[in-house]
Amino acid sequence: MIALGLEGSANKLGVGLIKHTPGQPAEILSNIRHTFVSPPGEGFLPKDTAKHHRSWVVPLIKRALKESGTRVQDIDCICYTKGPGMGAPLQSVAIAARTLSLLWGKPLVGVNHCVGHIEMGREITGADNPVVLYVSGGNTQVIAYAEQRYRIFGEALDIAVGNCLDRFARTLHIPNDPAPGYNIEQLAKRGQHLLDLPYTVKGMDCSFSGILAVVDSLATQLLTSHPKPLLTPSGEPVTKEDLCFSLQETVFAMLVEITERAMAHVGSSQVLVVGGVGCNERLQEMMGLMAAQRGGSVFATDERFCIDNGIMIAHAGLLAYGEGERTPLEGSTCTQRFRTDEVLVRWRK
Amino acid sequence: MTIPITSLQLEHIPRPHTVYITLFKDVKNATFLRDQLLAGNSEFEYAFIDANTIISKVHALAAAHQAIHNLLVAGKLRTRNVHSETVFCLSPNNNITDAFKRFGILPTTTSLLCIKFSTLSAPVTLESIKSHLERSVEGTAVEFTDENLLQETVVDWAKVAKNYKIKSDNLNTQSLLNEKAIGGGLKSLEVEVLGKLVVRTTG
Amino acid sequence: MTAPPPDPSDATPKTLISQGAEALVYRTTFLVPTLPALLKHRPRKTYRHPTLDARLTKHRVLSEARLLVRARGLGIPVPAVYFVDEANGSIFMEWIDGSSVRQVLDAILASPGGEGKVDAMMVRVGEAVGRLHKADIVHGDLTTSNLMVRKVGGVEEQEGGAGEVVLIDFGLGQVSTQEEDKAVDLYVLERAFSSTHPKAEKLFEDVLSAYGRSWKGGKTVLRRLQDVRMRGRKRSMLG
Repeated sequence: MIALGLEGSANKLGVGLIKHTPGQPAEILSNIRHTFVSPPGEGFLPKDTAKHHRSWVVPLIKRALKESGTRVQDIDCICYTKGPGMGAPLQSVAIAARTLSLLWGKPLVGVNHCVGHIEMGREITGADNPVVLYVSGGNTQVIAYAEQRYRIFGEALDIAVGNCLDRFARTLHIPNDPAPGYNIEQLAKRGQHLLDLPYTVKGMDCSFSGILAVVDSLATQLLTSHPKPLLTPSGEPVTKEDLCFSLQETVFAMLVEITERAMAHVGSSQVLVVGGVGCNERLQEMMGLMAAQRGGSVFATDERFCIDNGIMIAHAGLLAYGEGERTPLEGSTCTQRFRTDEVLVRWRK
Repeated sequence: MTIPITSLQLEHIPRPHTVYITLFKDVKNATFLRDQLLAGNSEFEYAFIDANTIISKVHALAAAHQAIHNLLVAGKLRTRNVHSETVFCLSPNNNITDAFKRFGILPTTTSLLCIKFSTLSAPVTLESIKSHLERSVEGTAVEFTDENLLQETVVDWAKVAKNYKIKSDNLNTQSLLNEKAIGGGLKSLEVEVLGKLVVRTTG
Repeated sequence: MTAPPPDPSDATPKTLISQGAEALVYRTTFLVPTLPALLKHRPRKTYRHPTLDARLTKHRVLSEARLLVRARGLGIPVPAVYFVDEANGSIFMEWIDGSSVRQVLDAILASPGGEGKVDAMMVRVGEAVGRLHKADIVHGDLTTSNLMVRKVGGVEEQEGGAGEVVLIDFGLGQVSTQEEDKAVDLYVLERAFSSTHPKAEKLFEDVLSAYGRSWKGGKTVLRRLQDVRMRGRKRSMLG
């Protein structure tokens, strides 16, 4: 069975082609992506992002088919991101999916974006039943599987961790190319001083708005030296690098802590990190140290699968398709809000 | 005469450290002993505690434990040495002078609890302490036990109530003797007093 | 389970009894070998920056110890604190001889007609939580494992948990006057009851009615609990 997957819930447009053969690992036929990059200091607006997706979806699908040598008649279903995400970009991709479905006469499968990340992470890493940390620009969730659902044990109570990093990058005029989080990570590697920032964890939940407010005002002070130059407690000047380092160390410590609490709660020693922020090597390293202390290990993927992509939508959609799931044309809507635990996971025991 | 000395290695404190404790009643030379402390006579480096302020062994040992802990953690000692620290650690507040007034030896003291540590940097033997105390303290030594603290050296309950701000109608020797500690733990008054000491350290 | 002792130079015997996400819990002794004690040790987290780790550990140890002393001082059944070593991440406290409510329920409900035997224990659970909330302390992680029943005369499970109910593990506790926080405390306990003891779900009504009777603000918190239940954790989130 072969599925085409279309993803466009945020600023990445992803197209993937996947092949499932019973008893064998999934085969990635194509996994390509085009990113809408906004100028430094600006976020991506829904309207512009949707326009980007509309103009790129046809060339990308054509390239995916051509590169992989897949013929339209080999495709079993068309999978698209139903949600969660930004409304206009989601709609632009849903329309593309519906059009292809009618044009080619193929069934549609609407996919939960978060479930896509989880299933692709499991497939690539071989992690069997891990606690999942899903961290991206829009989501921060600690998830574990129980009785046909991916259950949310903990989450960010306000803004997502990736959103916190992106907004900080804007204040500090860190470029959005290739991604704000990636650029923060590179700067953080040269950070020397750890500044005292708010650390907010409540059981398995956490909060990032407090730390963003503080680090944002520090960033402004750093750029303007107003009302006075920003210094460490020992009197040395604070650098951009120090701010990135302090922010990363603090928010990642919060993420690792809530993940560890969930692992202790469900009695698991495996952890899988997915989502765009999951690419960060410092986060992966910290998660690995925690898992090792618990006698377990961390599973993570590289940017091909961590960052939003079409292949994960194709993969999760095909798993559901294999269990008989179809999304009828009139039901092929999308939704900005779509919780991970709303999906009935038929394909797992 | 030979005096009973209790020698203990407190739990969780590294082994070479030992604490020696002697309890005296009917002490007649408190002024002399206090003067030696005030003069900084190094032969008299003890924690000299007014035993009327001590309700039980655990009460005194908790202070001794906190003091040796403070000695062993760099930068934690608040007073001159581990012995003055022991007196300080009996206090529910951070005022050192006040601690000595409340718990330390006074000219009027007749019941005296002497605590001496053998530490890595200043090791002492039981024999040397024994002979020094025999020579120096004019009083009757009794075994360091809960019963003797309550009945031989006698507790000044008004002082205990004032020192630890305890409001209780049955703050007396008999109720402490009668109470049976739950599950091998502490009696309720001991818990209350230790709680006050913990509050000082946790701020 | 194997875990490093909190301090290699510490020769006093200690037995690891549980390993949570944050802390290792040992059975040991304090001051003298005859005084049993519980040692809760928060080991260094190597994944955290050392400065951040030290700051968090110190803050949490001090906060937990203060809450316990405060609660105990108000007569709320919690373990007595013996000694705090915030730099090392350790708290020594009273050893509670007994079983968790979880163990008692598992043992009793396994026998036919067991439900009837634990009514009194449920009432004491409700009263204990009520007294905590009356003092404006919220626990933060109320589960049947974090409620102990003191042993009475050597047998507890057969006696239907006749001993005093003691609240333990205040690692996530805080001072709060908010009805919402108190209602969430009850909600967490309710979920713990229904997930761990499906047979005991009905018994939770006894906990709540005892809670409602136990202090003046109890009824208001119970009404707030209704809202929390309706809401659940189902907060929608933008993707």
